[in-house]
Amino acid sequence: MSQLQSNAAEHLIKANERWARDVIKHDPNFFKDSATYPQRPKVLWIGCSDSRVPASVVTASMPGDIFTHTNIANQFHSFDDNANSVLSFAVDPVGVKHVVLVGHSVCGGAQAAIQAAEEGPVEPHDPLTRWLVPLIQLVRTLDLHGLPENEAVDKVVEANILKQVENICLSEPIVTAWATGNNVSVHGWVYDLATGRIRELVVRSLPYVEKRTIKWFPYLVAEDPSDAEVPPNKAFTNIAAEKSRDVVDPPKKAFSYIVAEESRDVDLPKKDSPKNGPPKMESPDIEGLPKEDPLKKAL
Amino acid sequence: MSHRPIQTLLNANEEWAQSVVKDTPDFFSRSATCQNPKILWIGCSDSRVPESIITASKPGDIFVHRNVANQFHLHDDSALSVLSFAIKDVGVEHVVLVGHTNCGGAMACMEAAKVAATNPSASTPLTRWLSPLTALVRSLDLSACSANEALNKVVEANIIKQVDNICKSEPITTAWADPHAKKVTVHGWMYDLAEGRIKELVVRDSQA
Repeated sequence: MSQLQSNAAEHLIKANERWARDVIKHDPNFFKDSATYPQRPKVLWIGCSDSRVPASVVTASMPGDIFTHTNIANQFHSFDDNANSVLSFAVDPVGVKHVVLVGHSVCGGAQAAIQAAEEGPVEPHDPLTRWLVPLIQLVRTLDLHGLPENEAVDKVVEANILKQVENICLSEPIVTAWATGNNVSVHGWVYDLATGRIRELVVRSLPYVEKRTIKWFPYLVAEDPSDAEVPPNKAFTNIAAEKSRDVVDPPKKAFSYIVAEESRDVDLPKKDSPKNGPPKMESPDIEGLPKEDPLKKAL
Repeated sequence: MSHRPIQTLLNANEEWAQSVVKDTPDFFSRSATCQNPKILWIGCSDSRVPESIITASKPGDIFVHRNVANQFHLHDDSALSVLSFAIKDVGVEHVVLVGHTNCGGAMACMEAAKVAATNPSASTPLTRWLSPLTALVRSLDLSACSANEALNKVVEANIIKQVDNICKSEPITTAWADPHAKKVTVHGWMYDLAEGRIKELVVRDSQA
């Protein structure tokens, strides 16, 4: 019994060991470098604690890419030192250029808030209820009459994302950043569990900064030099360009798709691969653990 | 203003979702029905410690709360609501509190501990958030340590302290007091950025 129960945590440590060995195999200096140089992520992700929305997995990101804060129902409350300290630290000194607030379909927190709103007055006697009070209040402002449950949840999820983006834009770190010409942008995204896709609902940034600063305050457009390589309007659709960049950037390639790399290796003529699965979704082949389909196990 | 990092993430998400569907066509439709993670990860917001990447985990494996310097304060509704939801509604079996070397939050607290306590009226969310850790730094004897050793000592003491806080919290004390409740174990882990490895420092359960 205790053996079984310790396995989930032990499994993670063993999987970590295997992952670290794979990374070193492809990029011997990766960890040494990441401990030597400060982190420089461009994105702060504020999302839900839900296990089905792991920020770095659903965006195929690498260590160093995304500064992350997650809580129940992806809230950003003006009085919450936890989220505000993350945002403050991320904007300055870390220097992210984008804050993404990410909600998701079938959110348990949104479902709980709808139920609480229907049940009448809320007694905020415990941390979870207190945490959900602003969301419950938001639900009460929405007209959900006649909607099937899943549509009501979708509506609450979207309204919640827009509301939290508003809260972020009113926060001290963003207000200060915009007042001093730092055009950090704030995005509202929804992740659809049923399709695995992220959709952008809203983007907010320092008003008119693009047109006006170029003419009057060119020094305010402090672009990262690496951003100049691909024109913004082309980058969005130009996946092929991104891929070719990766090919001439071996370290990035090596650790971003370690597992896929290995699959490709075994696909070479010398060996047959039974399966060429997606990156990050392969079962970690760990000695002493039962070999099973990780997806089937999880579902 | 370039949005390239954002567009790269959205493109990467599309490619990732396509590859998942190619491998397991019903993965997303099934994941939309429920989650059943065994682990709650309480870790640092640091971009170099993405929980699911460094443990090769999949969507559905780990319930996650990350903040600056992996704190668990007993007055913080954000972390408490996550712990409560994870244990009572989701049913996780392990809570792992994960600190890491080279922690910027710990470094900031070591700097703050060198000067007199800050005027509370001049505090910011970040200084308030880090004040318990700054107090912890002041309680440690770091005089004989090199800068690097001192930082590691703070990171380890922080992990032990947050594990203590978690064990004192209502969701854990309630779970441990109820013989019929699902067993929950609390772990303190240290992630070494220079090695890429997780090391377990402490484990606590209802017997401890």
